[in-house]
Amino acid sequence: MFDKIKEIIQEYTETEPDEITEDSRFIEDLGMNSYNIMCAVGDLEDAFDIEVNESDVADMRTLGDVAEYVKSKQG
Amino acid sequence: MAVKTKTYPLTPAQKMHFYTQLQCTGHPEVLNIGTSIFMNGEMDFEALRGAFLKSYERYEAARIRFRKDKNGDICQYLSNEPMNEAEFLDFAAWGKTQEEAEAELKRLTTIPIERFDSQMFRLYYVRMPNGYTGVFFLVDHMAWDSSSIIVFISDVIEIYCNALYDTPYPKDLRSYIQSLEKDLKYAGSKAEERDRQFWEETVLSDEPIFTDILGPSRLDNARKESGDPDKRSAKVTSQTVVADICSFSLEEEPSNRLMEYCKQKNIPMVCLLISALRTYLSKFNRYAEDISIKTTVSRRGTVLEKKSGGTRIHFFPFRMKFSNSMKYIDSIRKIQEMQNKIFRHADYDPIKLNGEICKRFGNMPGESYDSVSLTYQPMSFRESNDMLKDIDYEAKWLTNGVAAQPYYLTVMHNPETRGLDFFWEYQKGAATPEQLEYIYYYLCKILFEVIEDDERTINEIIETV
Repeated sequence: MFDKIKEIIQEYTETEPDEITEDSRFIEDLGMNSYNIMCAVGDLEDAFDIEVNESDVADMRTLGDVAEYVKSKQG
Repeated sequence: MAVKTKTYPLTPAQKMHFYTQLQCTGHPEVLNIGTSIFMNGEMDFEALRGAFLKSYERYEAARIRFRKDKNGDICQYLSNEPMNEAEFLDFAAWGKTQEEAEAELKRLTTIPIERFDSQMFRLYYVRMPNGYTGVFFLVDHMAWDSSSIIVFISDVIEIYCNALYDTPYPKDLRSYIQSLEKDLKYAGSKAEERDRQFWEETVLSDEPIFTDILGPSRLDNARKESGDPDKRSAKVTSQTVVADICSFSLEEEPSNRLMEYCKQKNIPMVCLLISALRTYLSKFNRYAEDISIKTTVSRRGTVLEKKSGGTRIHFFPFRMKFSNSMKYIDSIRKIQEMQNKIFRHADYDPIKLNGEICKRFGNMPGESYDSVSLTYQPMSFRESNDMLKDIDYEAKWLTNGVAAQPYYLTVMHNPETRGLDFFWEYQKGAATPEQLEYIYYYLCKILFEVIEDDERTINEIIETV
């Protein structure tokens, strides 16, 4: 699952792939902004067939947070 | 045998600009964007020319051209022709004063670019009387936006520095056609249907109401003129689309306080600014609670979208309908949530949405519910490119002298003062600089009341200012 999340996030950042880890923070480390993040959320919804509530997005600051969230949504 | 050039239809963002131009009859220059970038000292113009030619080859978007197809519809294609030779404006050698040189650049910004089968930018190498040298770059908004200009110029600078100082060569840029094809696939897709539903619920389900930055008189007049006391839309009319700009600068220290507040509360600066504008509009429109402004979405999320150029901006109504008895901080969070939703549905065709709104509520052409547009621009040339961080240079956006919208506020970081600039572009017939200064003054009062104590309600903030 992490590889898929990373693959999606890579489309939105110029950070080298091997520098993207579970602890990478979207804004501080990957240089993403609110727009990038919301677009990536749409891609994650399609990839994992889940629905993400906009108000949950603020709590997801790293790729690891996203992985946890997707796991919880998939039950 | 002649090679057939592949053509593509216009995207909604390009159509939007085209209609803007039609709306401003007699002023085709409305789509001009002028930029000057001057370094302190003498540039190597031969190396600069080489860098532009190289970047022009690398950047598909610089080669976009338009033509009419056999049905008379405008389409676009990539030209294989070489870049036009740039003119050299040697104001220093011509004995011009700094003011005369600046006036000439301003004049050049008002000369429209030929629409069909023509390069969609004009380039000038410039030597200014004050010893600065560089380029003046004029583009057509149907092919470029500020983001694509920054990408192109940054690429040129990196190639120039590589040639002269052996700095690293820039990474490859991305394909405009790939990005365009992706954009064109959206019409009729499932994503479009999902986005349509969002806009249905947000602005089409019940009629918004017009609020004006100059107060309720415009809506009152629209009601009187139509004979409908319940009319909710109005038109911001101006005798002329001739425009001017004025800018108000907030110093570094107070600007930092605003930024620090946003950082601590984990809210984007733009949401704080939107909330202040909403509060201002409420205060001056009989404490209205249903307020709409126009927002811009750059639609540059992926690296492909960021690095492929073109023009991608969409304008949308940003409707904020909530009670003024809400705690201020909660209202900012609500705005943030709304903004995130708009981001997710920003590929929807804004012209189509506008048509649907007019049809649903029976509006006349030009009538709407918002009077003002707000854009927040955190990125300047300096921040866009590491090589520019230590160089003494100045970059300016120049006005074309015409505006399709009555009031357009851009809040941007000023790399020189390190503060925030509140930059207004406005139709001369719609407002005066004094009125805009008054609004700036109120926005600042609201912003600093909010960061002082955001647990108060919106009503309490309104009463305080």
